[in-house]
Amino acid sequence: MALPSKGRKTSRPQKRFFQRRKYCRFCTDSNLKIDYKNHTILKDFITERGKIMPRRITGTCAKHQRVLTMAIKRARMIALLPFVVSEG
Amino acid sequence: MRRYETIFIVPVDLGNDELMELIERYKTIITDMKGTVVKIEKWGQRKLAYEIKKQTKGFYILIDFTAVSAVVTELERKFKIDDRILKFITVKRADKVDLKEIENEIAAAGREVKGEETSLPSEVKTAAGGTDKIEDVVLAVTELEANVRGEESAPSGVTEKEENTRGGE
Repeated sequence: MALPSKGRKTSRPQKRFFQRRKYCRFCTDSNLKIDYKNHTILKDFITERGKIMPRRITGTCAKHQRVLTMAIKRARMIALLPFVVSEG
Repeated sequence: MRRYETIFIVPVDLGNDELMELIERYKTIITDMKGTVVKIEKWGQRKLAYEIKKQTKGFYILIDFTAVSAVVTELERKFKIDDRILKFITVKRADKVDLKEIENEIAAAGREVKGEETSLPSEVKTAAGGTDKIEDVVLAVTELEANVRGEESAPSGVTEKEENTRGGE
């Protein structure tokens, strides 16, 4: 049982295609401030449905993701960002 | 004294006089309780992300002020009573305020054309708060850390691969 699964594991990396390295946008650009009033930046981090994107997709670091989440939630409260987009 | 920032939304069909009176009223609440208003920004009409009280558009007003916490409770109590306020949010920006810095900022805000509508919060983005300096330092530190990490993983391609697989999970 253990042996064939091991063989499969070694062949796995070859199937993987090239992926661009993700990076945290807020770490690379220190001028970029996370602010709940600046919805144009926050918009990049929500899906079309209005959900907050996970950091495994956006590449944001843990620290900034925490701040970002707070900012998005605040922006939602004053109707700068939607809680949910149902149509479409 | 703490630094706060309040944004509230009023309906767009409100008259200009009524709007000015409304802002003046909330301003006096702050000043009566020994707070100082640093600046008032009118963002103007914006489309709301969702309907509030059957309204699809709203007029955004931002008040930046320093006051004790009792002012915020009073302000929010009044907001809840007022029918013309669609929605509001108060955010604490700093725990302590430097009065001299505040005076400078008030002077700076006064130099900008008063009462002019700042159509989009693009100007808000550049508005520097008292906490920005700390954030800069923190950002610089994280940047350094990122560099160090980058150097470590750069020479050997193995570690990079490992990181990739972790990311794919």
